[in-house]
Amino acid sequence: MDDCKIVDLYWARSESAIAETSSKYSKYCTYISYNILRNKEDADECVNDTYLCAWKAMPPQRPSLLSTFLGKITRNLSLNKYKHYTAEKRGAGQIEIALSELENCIPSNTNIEQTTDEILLVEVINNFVSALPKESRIVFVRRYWYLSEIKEIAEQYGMSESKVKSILFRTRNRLKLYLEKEGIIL
Amino acid sequence: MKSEMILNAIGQIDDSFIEEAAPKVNTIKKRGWVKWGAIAACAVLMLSIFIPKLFTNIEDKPTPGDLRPMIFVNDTLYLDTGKVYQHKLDNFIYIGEVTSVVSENEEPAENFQANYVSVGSEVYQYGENIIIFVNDIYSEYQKAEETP
Repeated sequence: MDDCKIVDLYWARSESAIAETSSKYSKYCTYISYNILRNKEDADECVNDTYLCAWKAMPPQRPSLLSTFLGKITRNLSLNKYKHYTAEKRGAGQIEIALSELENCIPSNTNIEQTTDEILLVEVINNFVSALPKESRIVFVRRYWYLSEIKEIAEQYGMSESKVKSILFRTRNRLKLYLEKEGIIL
Repeated sequence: MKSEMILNAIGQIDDSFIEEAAPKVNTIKKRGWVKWGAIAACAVLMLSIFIPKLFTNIEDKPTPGDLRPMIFVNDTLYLDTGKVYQHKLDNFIYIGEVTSVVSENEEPAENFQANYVSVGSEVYQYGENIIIFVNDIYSEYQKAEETP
């Protein structure tokens, strides 16, 4: 079913909205959640919670891209569950690796006490991502938005794993330089 | 944690970038017979390649592994340090350009030969190190024997 029609079902408070969403996007949302949690039951739970959140959010919201609207909800719910699990020492998946990789992006300027607010950081990272060459941008987003494994990224885009690592390595270095240039303090 | 702030900020990037990098999720759940059929087909293919070699006693070349980006200049092999510069520094001395490339899994062996980068990429001397200008950034390479 067309995304606009699915959104219309939410606005009409029709329960078939959930069934249609599940039919079209359950695999997409499960993929996102599973990369973070590495547990099928937990991922399924997050995906079901995604539908509930979508039900509560529409109306008033009318997303232009339903896939990424749902994906963002799933990612946030899964990250929150992950944080809950790490507090209980149950965490797994790509998060720890991705976070340690992103340590390299932290700007080294520490002479200003005021830290950058989140909205500005999002704007700066958005500008950075938009200026990347397409190949680097896709690899970067796959790794740090979807938390996909390097091996999987390499397979999907026909690259060697070392090339993916090299792209990520350079992109992280560029991000660090860019954040420093923009005066971002974390 | 600071890296968590970056991860969260990346989570809020424009939808267009998220959509652009979307995975092929249809391939996540394969039907059993498709998966095992593919494995069987691969096995047959591998056997058809390797069995004749066992009997003909042909000396195989070493299996190529994943290599770091590298360049051969001044009769020396240099490896990517990961250090990059956004702008050209005054003491970057232009020495030529990449004249030939090898695949990502091969080690360059001729002067001004590299893997990963394309022919025509500018090459600079920077002290003991080498700089290659590619994708609008200057990447620094160090002599292989000095690289950890």
